Amino acid sequence: MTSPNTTHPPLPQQPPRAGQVPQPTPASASPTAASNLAPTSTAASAQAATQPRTAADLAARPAVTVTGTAVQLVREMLATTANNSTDQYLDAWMARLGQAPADDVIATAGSLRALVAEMRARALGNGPLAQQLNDPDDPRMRSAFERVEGVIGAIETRTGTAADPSPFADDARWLFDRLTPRAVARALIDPRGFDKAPLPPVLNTDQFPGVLAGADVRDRKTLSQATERLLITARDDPRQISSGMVMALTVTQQIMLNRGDPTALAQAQRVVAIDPRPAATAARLRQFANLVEAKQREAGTQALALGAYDVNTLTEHLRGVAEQIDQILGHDYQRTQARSWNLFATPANGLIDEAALRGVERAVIEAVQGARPGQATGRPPRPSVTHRSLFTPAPQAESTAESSTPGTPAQPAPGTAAPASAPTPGASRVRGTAAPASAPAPGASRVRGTAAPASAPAPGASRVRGTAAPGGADPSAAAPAHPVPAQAPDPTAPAPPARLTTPASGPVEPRSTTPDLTVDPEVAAEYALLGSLLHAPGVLSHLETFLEAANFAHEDTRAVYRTLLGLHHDGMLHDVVSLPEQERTDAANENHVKLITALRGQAYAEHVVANPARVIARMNAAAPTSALPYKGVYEPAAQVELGGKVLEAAFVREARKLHLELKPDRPLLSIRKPTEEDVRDQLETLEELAANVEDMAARLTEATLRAGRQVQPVDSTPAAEAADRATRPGWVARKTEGLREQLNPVLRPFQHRAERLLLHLVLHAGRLDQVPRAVLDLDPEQFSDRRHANVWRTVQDLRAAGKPVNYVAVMLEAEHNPDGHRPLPSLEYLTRMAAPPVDPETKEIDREKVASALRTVVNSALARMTSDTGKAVAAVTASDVPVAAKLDETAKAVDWLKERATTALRRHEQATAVNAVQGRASR
Amino acid sequence: MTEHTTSEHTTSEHTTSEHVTAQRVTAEHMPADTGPAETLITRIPVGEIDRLVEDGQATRWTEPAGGLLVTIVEIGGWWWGLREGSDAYERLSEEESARLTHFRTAFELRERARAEVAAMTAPSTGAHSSPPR
Repeated sequence: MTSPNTTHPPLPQQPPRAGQVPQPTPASASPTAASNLAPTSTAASAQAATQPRTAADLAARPAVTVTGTAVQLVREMLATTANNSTDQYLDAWMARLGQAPADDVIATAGSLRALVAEMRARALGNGPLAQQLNDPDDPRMRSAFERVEGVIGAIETRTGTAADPSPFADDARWLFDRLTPRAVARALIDPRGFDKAPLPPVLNTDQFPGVLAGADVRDRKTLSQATERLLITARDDPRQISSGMVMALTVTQQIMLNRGDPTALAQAQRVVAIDPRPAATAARLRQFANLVEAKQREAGTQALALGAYDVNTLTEHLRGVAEQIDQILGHDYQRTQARSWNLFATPANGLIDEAALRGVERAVIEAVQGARPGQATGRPPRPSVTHRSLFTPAPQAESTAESSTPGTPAQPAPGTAAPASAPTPGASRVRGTAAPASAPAPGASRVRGTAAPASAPAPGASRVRGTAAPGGADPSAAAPAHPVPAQAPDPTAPAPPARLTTPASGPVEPRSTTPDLTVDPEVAAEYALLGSLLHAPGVLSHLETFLEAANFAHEDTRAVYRTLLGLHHDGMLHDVVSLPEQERTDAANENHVKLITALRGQAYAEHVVANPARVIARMNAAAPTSALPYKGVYEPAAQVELGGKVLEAAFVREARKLHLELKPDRPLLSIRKPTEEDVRDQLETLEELAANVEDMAARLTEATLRAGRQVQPVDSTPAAEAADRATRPGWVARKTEGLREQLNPVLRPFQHRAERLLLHLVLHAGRLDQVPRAVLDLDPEQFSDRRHANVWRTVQDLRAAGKPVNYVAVMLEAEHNPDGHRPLPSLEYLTRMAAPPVDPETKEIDREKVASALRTVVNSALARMTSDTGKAVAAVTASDVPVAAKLDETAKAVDWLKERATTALRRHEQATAVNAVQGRASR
Repeated sequence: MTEHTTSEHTTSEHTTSEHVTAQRVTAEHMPADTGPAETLITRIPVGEIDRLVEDGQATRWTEPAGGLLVTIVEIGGWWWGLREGSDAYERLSEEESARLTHFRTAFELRERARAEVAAMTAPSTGAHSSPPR
């Protein structure tokens, strides 16, 4: 890992934009122009050039994320600039970019942009690069520099990345350190010199973080812990480990934790959906597999050490994921499809709602093909500039994101994001971007058009993310309706965000392309209700009798509810639940289309939903369409319950607005005075306790006799008590229980998964009437995880109250019921159970898996009880603690309490009798 | 001696041996005739509210919402609420009362909807495709 001494000089916060790229001027550029080459450079950046770095520092850098493609492009770019005119090299490079290099083009452009930003920073320093650049007698360096910048500016322009900060700046800085300024200078002046410069070890694919290379791979637990440590390091200090590595580690960790579930294909799809550079992640996964295999060559040994899944060992699964990633990337349709899923990939559970997106896929492809006539295949939409690992929570900036950048602003439509394969005719387009006044050519408008609709809210949006959902079935609302970037903005559309009007001002915040689905019990109930009503609207006629749109917390959800009511009254929504299974997908897609179209057209609600795609994504996350065949939140009774919760939440908000005092509906402690019956109950309890103590004493005596141990006399001195505490077996230490539970997924992966599956199952079974009896008969105590046991208790309570069982109901119980069972799993954990526990391939619940889980839970519970009993007997017989004497003491205490209770009861009866006599006498 | 506090603009401490009654409250707060300002009851101590509830002259809001209970009572068609930090119930304005009444109606309708849906779905809860057995 990186040495702690390694410091990274700050780079300019704002990378160069297309508008700031100086026009490529040949050798005649004036010295003054050189000073303009680094408009965003800072003194700190200048300091970066002179900051000494030791070889150890550089070698300690574990990896760099600038792709090989980016480096290769730079090399070829420099070779081209030496021999061709400006227009020629630009054309050549535009054509080359259009040919879809092996890695992600967008990521490559980001890397290149980071490279040129570093160039600018270094040019301000006192190193050889700066000296040569500022040498008035030798314009070669300056000229080459400007040409490279021109090309990169063109790339930025064509890929629409000009306004985004580069996530690769750190890597570029590292790369420059490795190349040395001299090598860069030589390369810029003489492209052949670049070839002679030693390639940095960045391209050495055998490198892997030392922590993992040194990890003991004979033990899955150790390897998993090492991976976890790296991930925590990456989360705490992202610069300590490259982003590509983080994704690979995350995938690896998930495989190890989940024992290969989900499948390699599903994991690959998730990687492609959210990773800016999935090809790099695939390479890292292979590296990891190689590393593990180098230490554990044989599959059988691996299986023993690292665990074998159904069909794969860890290395096979890693390679499988990498292979699937490559296949997806190599297939335009699959790649575009996976990228479009980014919209519906939730940060909480990483699930992707396939059923809801079949229409989306078609829309994406149509948008790609429509925007690029003549192109048979689409290019993936531009990925997020902000790398988001699977465990990183989504930013909590819903309102900002929705108000300023409707939709997912970092994601232009594929057609606009992807440059055409055909060479751009001349550099005028690039210059038009850099200086629009000088070249109002079609190219310039096209470039600007690329950005404009990408940020414009609906209905002017032409972006995949914004228009994806309805696009497949409703051309009027789909991307092709507004796909042409040069199209004038829709005058009826809301005002475009500030970024459109001032594209070059101020630093640009990194943006997340993933819907913010932060769990909030109140919001979860609203979205779950709306999501279920979209596909099961039959209960709306009942709901609307008591639930109004005003009862929803946010304007967006109010608008959705109004729209759903309007669509339902007009008979436009399919009741998907009542349709045959084969028709459900299409009907659900049509419902999506109708909703998003109505929202955009403000057909039933005046409020403009700034980001309908985000709202629908939330609805899908809270009520997945994949759960349609089951019950859960789609059950009418559950919908009414959810509606009631929404109403209750509105009522509480109203009361808070009036500053009315709110108190728990049930007192935390009973304030009822004990009655005679209570005393009798307590007496019975004491008697039972006394009997139990006697029974335990008898058992202990028997165990002691069998073990041949003598019962020790009671020693109640402080020293003896201290010794008692010291000899207390560790397994009874309650303090460690919480930690053990947290580690359950790692320490007891089979049990944990089995319990989770059963809980997941019942949370989709409505009133549990069709859940196997054997599952329902489980006792909470049979769950090894206390939180699971409490969920089970909560489910049993809901069932006893005749309420539908679903994850929202459990969440609300956890949130609002002071008498509820606690601790419960986190809300995020429960939200992951929003989708049914179906097999990703068959889309059915795997009954064998359920049976297996049941067996695992029961067997582990039995084993646990056996083990605990054995440990107890062992501890008692092996310990010097005078247990028998303690039991005697306890029995005496219980007897004493029993006597007191009896006496109290007798006195109470006497007092009652006296009162009765006095009462009669007074009358 | 039971005491009650009246509106701020009254001239005395309004300590009286006379019980607050629902009839009096109702009479004083009739929309058409709000009574003389100096005798208008606008605040009723918590203990007095408890007595009125026990006597059946006031109806307490008992519908919990999200595990919480709103401290309001209804006396003669008016809602009286215990504001945060206060020790006496205050009469809510007409608009506030109307909103709370609206919610009460909504809660009643919810119960009706619950019953209807339960009756509708009770005979066949397995309308959907079956989960694993």
